[in-house]
Order: sequence, then structure tokens, then C-alpha cells
Amino acid sequence: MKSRMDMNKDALLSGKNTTFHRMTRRDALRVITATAGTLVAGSVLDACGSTAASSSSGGPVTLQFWDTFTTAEINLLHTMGAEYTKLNPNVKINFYEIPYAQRPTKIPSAVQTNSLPDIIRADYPYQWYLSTQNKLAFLENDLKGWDMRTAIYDTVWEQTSYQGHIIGVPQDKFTDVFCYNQDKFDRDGIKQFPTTWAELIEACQKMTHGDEYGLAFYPDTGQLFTDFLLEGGGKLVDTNMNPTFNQDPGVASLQMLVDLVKKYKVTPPGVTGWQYANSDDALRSGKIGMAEFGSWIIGNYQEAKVPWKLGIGAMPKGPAGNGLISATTMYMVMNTSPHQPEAIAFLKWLVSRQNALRWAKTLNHEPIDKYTAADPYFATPLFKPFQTSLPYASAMPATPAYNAVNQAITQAIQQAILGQKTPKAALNDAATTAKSALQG
Amino acid sequence: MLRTKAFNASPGKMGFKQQRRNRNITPYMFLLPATIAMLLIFFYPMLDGLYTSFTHYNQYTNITSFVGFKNYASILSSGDFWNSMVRSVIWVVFSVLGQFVLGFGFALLLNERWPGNRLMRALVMIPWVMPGISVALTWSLIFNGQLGLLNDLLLRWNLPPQQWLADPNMAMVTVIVANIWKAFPFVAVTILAGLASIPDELYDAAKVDGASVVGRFRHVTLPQLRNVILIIVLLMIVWTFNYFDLVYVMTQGGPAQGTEIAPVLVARYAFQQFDYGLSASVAVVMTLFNILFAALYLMVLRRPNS
Repeated sequence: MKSRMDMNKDALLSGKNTTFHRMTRRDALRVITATAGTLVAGSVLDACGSTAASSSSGGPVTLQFWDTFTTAEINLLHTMGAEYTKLNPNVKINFYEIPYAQRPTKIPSAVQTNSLPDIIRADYPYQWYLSTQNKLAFLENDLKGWDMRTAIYDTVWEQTSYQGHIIGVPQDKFTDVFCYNQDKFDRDGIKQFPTTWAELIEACQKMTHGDEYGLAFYPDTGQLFTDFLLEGGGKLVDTNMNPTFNQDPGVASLQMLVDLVKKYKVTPPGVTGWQYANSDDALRSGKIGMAEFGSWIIGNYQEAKVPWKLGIGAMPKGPAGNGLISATTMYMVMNTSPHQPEAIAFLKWLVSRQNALRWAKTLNHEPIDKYTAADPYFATPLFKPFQTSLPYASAMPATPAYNAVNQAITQAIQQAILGQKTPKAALNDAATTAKSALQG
Repeated sequence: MLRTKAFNASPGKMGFKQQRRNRNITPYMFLLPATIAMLLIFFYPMLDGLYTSFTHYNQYTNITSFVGFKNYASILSSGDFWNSMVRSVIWVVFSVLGQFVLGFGFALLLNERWPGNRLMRALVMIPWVMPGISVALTWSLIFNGQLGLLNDLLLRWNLPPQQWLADPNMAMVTVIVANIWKAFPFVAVTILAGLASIPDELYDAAKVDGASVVGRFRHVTLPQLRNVILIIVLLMIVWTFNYFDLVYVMTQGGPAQGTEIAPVLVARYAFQQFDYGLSASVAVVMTLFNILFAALYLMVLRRPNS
């Protein structure tokens, strides 16, 4: 006698469907209903995105918070988030770390799929990008009467405002400065930090010998090019968002970079292929005199216990005077968030007078407000250059297309250093690319 | 009586028809969930991508407008696009060649009996199972001009250190080397499986006929592996052509666009310029290129006299 399995096997082999249960219309409908149900449920869950877990009916609220930047910042943010939940048990904050390199894909993807969190912590150009996408809550009414509204510097608010609306709560500003190896300066007989381009070249030349070099940099607009451009009297774009970085000050800025690399040879070999980490590693190694960074380096290097003394120097004056970029990091509340009041209340607490001071002191970040700046902790020589640079600080252009402009200029810098094009030709090509991106 | 007969016959006839209809519909019902899932997660994005390639998205106004073939005209007249295609061809040809030669060599070695062979068969898979990002970061450190392992070795041997990632051509070599290392195990394991399926009798017969080692390789091994090789090479070419993360992490397409292969250009257009139309049009051209290449490749190599 054949078993049931054997009968099924025979049926399969013979191709005759003798023992299978035949699907009736009802079965077919069940399959269709189940399939459709699963897909609809999936779509609904997907559409709810990251805020699906939280309630908007006055019950406990869970804020979804996207964060980037250094481990020290992230750790402090998590600690403060936990403290806020202790004070406000109804508000829980879920932090998600978005690696810096993933922001260009993660944020636009979230915009396109309508899956933005409640709060994003980011810097340029994401405030402009999210603003043009109409995804940011306007905060001016909620910040009225807040003591930090007048205490935080105007140059900082400038970068968290768009078309007359406040679209972010600032947390940090990072002014371009030179971070230098004080021990190496002493060893190479440099008494004071250079204050002009000529002194900068001279100091770098003195520090370049053997396998040691005066300057580390990587091809990027934020690395020297823009500051040299501003110091030459130029601008990245005009008021109509037309590129102007290819005019004479831009060419002079790029020529200065090319000269530092090729004529004076004060940079390590291979900087054309460098990225941020290369410059950072090089400076940490103790074999480099200086590199242009921001105040985040102070905390990072203290934590890493670099075996030499860190100094901070203001950008040396260029042919047209002083000029530099100061970028702001901010918290933005999405207008898609069902918990805007809770999110704004949390941010006001996070950047309150006491917490702004705590943030800056714990992380060794430069102050963003007059209260913090008045603290004796920030009266040391390490923080003085940030204060003296403040009057000359400019913001990056208010455009969501800045990544494309940056990429175009980066290519121009690489091409000029590699000798593929003259600085003028390289910048003209970059301006053509940038123009197309800036015009949308 | 007639009435009773008709009454009795009718349900039987209907039942047979219904049974046949049910039998016809049954396999399709089983396929339905997978088909719907495929339509949603594969064909819908593909068609949406195709549609996007005919649009222009203005990031300032947040308006998407239909522009016909303008994006295609734009990329075909763009130096960036042709640079990326040339770089892609170099990237694919040398990567696949290296992966194939190294993978084949390893497969032949692993096919022999020697102590530790089984362990080696497992170890050789490590690069293949490692995430692309980890491979990219590891090789970036190895090729680092200041702190890298490779320059350290060169210095120990009194050779001049190289700036592997600073020169556009040298950077292309470095990403190709990393890619060969990442993917050769797939070739090795697949060829190894192919080698195991060749009957020993064929080799015995060849030996009896006086064939040398090279002769046996040429007249037994290669013809027997023909179909395996055909599929491997096709897969490797398509995968390498579409491979993105390794190059992006190691060089971001630089320096000076020296390693900007087509997928990196797609990412640049989409996520730096936010020009989704332009980005989608490059992606569509890449897909067409893949389809055309696969068809031609199979057509040529499946001809009996090829």
C-alpha cells in the first residue's frame, strides 16, 4: 500500500494532480485578500514612518531625533536627553545616529519617502535644503521672549533663518581657525602665530623639513579656499546666487593653495587625494605644523590625549583684509512632526543658558552666546581667536545646492594642483557646473 | 424523466467546467503574492526611475516638470558622463580580468589535495563575505600615503613611498586592486564547484591519449567549465559595472574625477546636485548598457563555433 507521500510523489512525477486540494474561488479570494492585506498593512506602517510609535493624544510622547557628528557630542546629547526625560517623564527621546557621510543620502531619501523624524541636528546645507522642501517648522513665535533669543549672536541666527523665518535652534558655531602644534612651533623657532599670508608661508617653510611639514589640508571649499577667497575680497556667490568664486580673488586663492603645495612644498605629498580624516590624522601624528579646523578639535584632541600642546590661531590676514567662514550646527523641527510643541520645548531646554554653557564647556566648543562667552573658562588663549574672528565671520551661501558647488570647487582645486588645468580654467569650469546646480 | 435527467446532468457538467477553471487558476494564485511583491518592489521603482529620467526636479520650487529627452541629451553631451563611462570600462575590464585570473588560480589550487585544503576553502571566502564598506576602509588604510601599510613596506625595502590615492590614475589602480581582492573568492568557489563536477574518466582518457597537464587543462578542463565561466564572467561584469560603495568610500570618485565611475556619477547627480532626472537618466543608460552587453555576450559566446 502506498503512503500519502508516495501518492503525492507519483502525482508529481506523472504530472497528474490527483491528490492536491484544488483551489476554489473562495480560496482564491482568501489568497488575494491576504496578499492585499499584507501589502496595505506594510504600506500603512511604512507611511507612518518613524513617528508611528508615538501618540499625539496627550499621552506619552516619543521624539525621534536624528543626530550626526562626534562621539563626545553624541554621548553628551544622550545624557542630556535622559535627563530631560527624568524631568519630563511624558517625553522620551529616541536618538538615531546618522553617520556624517550618510547625510547626503539619508536626509533627501527621508524627504522623498515622507519618513522624516521629529528633530534633525545638522549644519549647512541641510537647513536650506529642508527649507526649500517646506519641511521645517517656523520657530519665531515659539522663541519669542526666550532669553537665549537675544543672547545668541546674530551671525549664528543668520544661518538658522530662511526668508524671514527662524528654522532652527542653534547649538554650535564653528569658526574657521588654524589648529597648530605648539611644540612644533617652538621647536622650529616660530615665536608667534602668523598674521599675514606672507608670514604663513614663511612659518610653513620653517616647519617643513625631513618628513615634517608646515601645513595639512584637503581639497575642499571649507578648507582654506573659501577663507582665502574672502580674504582676497571675493565671494562664493553674488546676491542672485550666481557663482563669483571664479573671479580674480578666487583665482588668487586657488593660486595660493597651488603655491603652498607645489612651489613652497609645505604640505605632505598626496594632499590632492586627501579627505578630512587624512588632515586630522596628519596633525595628530605630530609631524604637521597646522591645519585649518574648528573648535571641535579641542575636545577631540584632549580626549585622544595627543602628546603635544594644541594652539589655536586666527586666520592670517589676506590681501583685502580678514575674512572667514563660521558655520552653525542647529536643531530643526520638522513641520511633519505631530509633536512640535514637545520638540520645541525640549530644544529650548537643550540650548538654555545653563545647558549652552554646559555643552560648550564639556565639549570645548566655542560659545554661541554672550552668556557662555562671559564665562572665565572661555577667556583662555585657546578660545580667544574665536572671539577675535567673530567680526569677520561670514556664513555659507543660503542654498540647498551647496554640496554641488563644493564638489565642483573641490574638483577645480584637485585639477589645479595636479596641473591638469590652470586655476582660472579650473574655476571657470567649476563655476559652470555650480551655476547649473545653483539655478535648480 | 427528461426533466430529471437534465437536472442531474447539469451540475455534473458545470462541476467539470468549474474544476477545470479552478485547476487553471490555481498556479496563478500561488504566484500572485510574489508577483505583486515583485511589481511593487522591482517593477514600480524601475518604471518610476524611467519616468524620473524624463523629468526635471527644481529644488527651489519643489516642482517636478516633464522635460522629455532633455536629460538624455544633456548627459550625452556632458564630459562628466563620458569620463565616467571611460572610467567604468577601465574599472570593469581590469577588475573582472584580475578577479577571474586570481579566482581561477585559487580554484585550481584548492581542487588539489593538500594539508589544510578544507580550511583554506573556508578562509578564501572571507573577502567575499565582508561588507563593501569594511573592505573599502581597510584598503584605504593600507593605501594611506602617510600611515599606510603598503608605504611602510616600501620604505622597509628601501623603495620610494607612493601617493596611491592622490593621483587619478594611481587611485584607479588602487580601487581595482581592492575590488579584485573583494570578489575573486566568488570566482574561485564557483569554478571549484565546476571542477568538482568534471568526471575523472575524462582526465584518465586524456592521460591514456598522452595529453600533458597543459593539454588536459586546455582540452578537458576549459571545455567542461565553459558554461560556468560564461555565467561567472557575465555576472562579474554586470556586478562590477554597478558596484558603488567601494569606490565611493575609498575615493568619492576623485581625485579630479579619476575614479568617477558611472554609479558614483549617479550618486553625485542625485545627492549632491539633487538633480534626480539627470541621475535617473545615467542609471537608465547604465541599465540599457547592461542589457545590451549581456545579450551580445550570450549571443556571441553561445554560438556553436565560438
